[in-house]
Amino acid sequence: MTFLNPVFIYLLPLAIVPLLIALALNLNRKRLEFPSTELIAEILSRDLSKRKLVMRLKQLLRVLILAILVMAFSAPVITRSPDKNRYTVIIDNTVSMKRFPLDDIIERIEAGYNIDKIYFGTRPLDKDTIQTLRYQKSAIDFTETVTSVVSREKIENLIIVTDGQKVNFPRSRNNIGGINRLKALILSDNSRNIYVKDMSKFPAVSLPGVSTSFTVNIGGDIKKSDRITVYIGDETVLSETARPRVEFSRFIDKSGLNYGKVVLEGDNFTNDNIFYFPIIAAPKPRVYFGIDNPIPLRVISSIFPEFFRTDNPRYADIIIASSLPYRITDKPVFLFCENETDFQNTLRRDFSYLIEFRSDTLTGNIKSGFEILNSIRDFTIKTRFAHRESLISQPLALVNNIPVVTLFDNYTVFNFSIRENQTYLENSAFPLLVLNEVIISHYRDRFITEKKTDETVYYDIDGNIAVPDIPGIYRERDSSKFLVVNIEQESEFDFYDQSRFARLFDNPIDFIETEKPLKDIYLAFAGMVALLALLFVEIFL
Amino acid sequence: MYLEKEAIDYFRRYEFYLPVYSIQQGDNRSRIIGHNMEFEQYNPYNPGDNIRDIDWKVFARSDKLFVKNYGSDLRSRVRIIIDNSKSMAYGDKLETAKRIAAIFQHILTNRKNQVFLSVINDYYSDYERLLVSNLEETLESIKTIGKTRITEIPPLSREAVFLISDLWEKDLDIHTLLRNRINVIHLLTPEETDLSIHGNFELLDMETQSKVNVIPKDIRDKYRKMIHNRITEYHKEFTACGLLYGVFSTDTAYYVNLKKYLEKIKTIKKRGKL
Repeated sequence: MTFLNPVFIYLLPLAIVPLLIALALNLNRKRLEFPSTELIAEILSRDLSKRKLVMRLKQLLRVLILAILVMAFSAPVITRSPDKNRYTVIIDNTVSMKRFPLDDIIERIEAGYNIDKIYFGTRPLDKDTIQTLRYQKSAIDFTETVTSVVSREKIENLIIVTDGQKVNFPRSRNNIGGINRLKALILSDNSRNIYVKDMSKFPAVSLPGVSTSFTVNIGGDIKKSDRITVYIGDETVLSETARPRVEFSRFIDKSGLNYGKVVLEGDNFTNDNIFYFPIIAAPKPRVYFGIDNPIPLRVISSIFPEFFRTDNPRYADIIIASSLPYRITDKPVFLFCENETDFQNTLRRDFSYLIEFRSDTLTGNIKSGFEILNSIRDFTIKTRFAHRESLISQPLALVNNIPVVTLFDNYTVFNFSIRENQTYLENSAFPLLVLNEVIISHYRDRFITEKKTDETVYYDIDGNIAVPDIPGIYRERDSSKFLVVNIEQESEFDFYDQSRFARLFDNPIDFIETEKPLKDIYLAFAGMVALLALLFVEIFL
Repeated sequence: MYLEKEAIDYFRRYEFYLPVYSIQQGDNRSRIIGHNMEFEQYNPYNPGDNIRDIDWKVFARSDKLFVKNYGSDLRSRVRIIIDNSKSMAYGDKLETAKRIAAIFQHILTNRKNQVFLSVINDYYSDYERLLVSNLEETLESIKTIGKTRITEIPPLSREAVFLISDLWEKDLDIHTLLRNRINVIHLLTPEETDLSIHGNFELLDMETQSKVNVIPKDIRDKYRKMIHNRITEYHKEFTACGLLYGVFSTDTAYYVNLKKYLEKIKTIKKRGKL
């Protein structure tokens, strides 16, 4: 048995205070001459054994009550008897586990069990890199992780370490397979967290003259006292009571990159909840239209309420054309196959890509990397060419597994002619969505960078060199792009429900924690029984 | 001064009859039938009664034989035995006993009774006859010593014997007292009757020097009950034998207790015997 608050154990000698008092009273006994002790001696001799027993019982109960009290404060935990089997440990690697000190946990498990190997998720754990472990942000079924490790390695005895957050255990261990002994260390704490689940704004790239709507979704157990404050630059744009969904809108007139932050405030949070977000605002773009068709014009005017037209692609911000006189590298180019020869020449010149023209009519649902395009159903289009199998490009939209839109660097190549599909495209959101998504990602790529693993140098907002470990906005030295770092927070930290996990095991005895806290209720019960017994002895005996 | 003014005043107009055991005549009107000139009562004639005592006038009127009884003026010999064992030192019991003896001597001497004094401790010893002249001196000389040994009291015939004691004797056999026809003034302090001492004590027996550790409150109820039972039993036994028994608590004035005690003489039914 060990104690969570061992300091109180030092108070255990206090339990003998009643005995000391009794002893002190005995030592402090006064001597008195009395005419005759005959009667007293007679009474005492008659009742002596019973009286002594009652007295001892009283003293014992007093000591017991104090000892129980001290024990309750010292929070005892029962450690199980040593297990000689060799175990493999699989540690849950989802983000919510980040709040637990992994090295301590491993130390405790190793102290109690013979450990063969330790896996962090699916990978073997290197103890030297514990401080720099990468936790999985996305919701992964931990069972799958366990199953994959168990099927890969031949594991007989397994200890699972998890906090039970977003973990769906199977109903039977047979689903894990081949396990003789299955133990689980379920971690829990009483911390609370609310966090910015996601933040969206529309339009994604703020446009001049158009108010941008922001939506902040807050996850976690929100209390009435929690507050949300939103800053854009140094300006406070919102400060109110936190709700699961907070909406506000704002005119963003300054083009280029700006950034804001959402600050969540409340009690008992596990960490400071500041969520940083970039705001990208487009200037009035200059658009080059190389296709004499109203549809591109209409699409652009839908995206940008105001824009300039230019006749020279060199000075344009957005290019919509069938062919280009030279290679353009730094701005989004939308290439439609209006004129076969020019189209072919452009692609061959810029990407050495030869086309085999073959007209075809495709009907089906769109599959795309852009989430929003997947909502387009029964899309019908007359394509102009067949792709080769060895594409250096990446398909952006597929119909029946045939690329309709393909990305070649900054070129977005459409496998159809607007003119030929005029009727259909006039009523379809497809070109609008594609252009919108591509332009957004273009702007994003232009300003925002992802965190790189190599030795990239970053500056913080004040211009000092900084390591982007803590949340904030950083600028990459080489590209001058911005890096937005937020806390990787996954979940609402629920208390786990033991019964949920106990179901996993065929035999509940297998469900053993390394340490089992003596529940307060038992101690309270024991204390109450001792107290009642003392009262009984005091009153009736 | 053992003979106190308050006590004398208290008994100033007090009259009581004390049975006699001696043949000397005195002022004390005895309940024993005698031949003085004072008519006492009529009794039906029984064979053996003196024929000269038959009231012939009554016989003439009622045709029944009655004998006339007359009182006696015989003087009594009274012996006061004071227990001067060590236990009597507790709560000035011995001093109280001396005062009781003093006032008792005063009352009895006024009625021309002879009063003798003895003490009992490990041994029985007689003092000279108590007179007004030697009263204070004699009582003064009594000190506490030894243990109480009631059995040491010899049979004292033709004397009214009063023992003033706390009766703390191991395995006391009161039949010795009854047999010797000794009247008892049982002198106790409130501490002895109620065990009204508080704290944690090592009690030392004043006579036997034996020790006992006790927290009085633990046994007080039982002690009270036992002492009450003992007193009740003594009372019953003495009364049945026509002897006087009374508990004198030191928290009440001794002369008040004594008056109540002497009043009991009237309740003794057995004529001629005390």
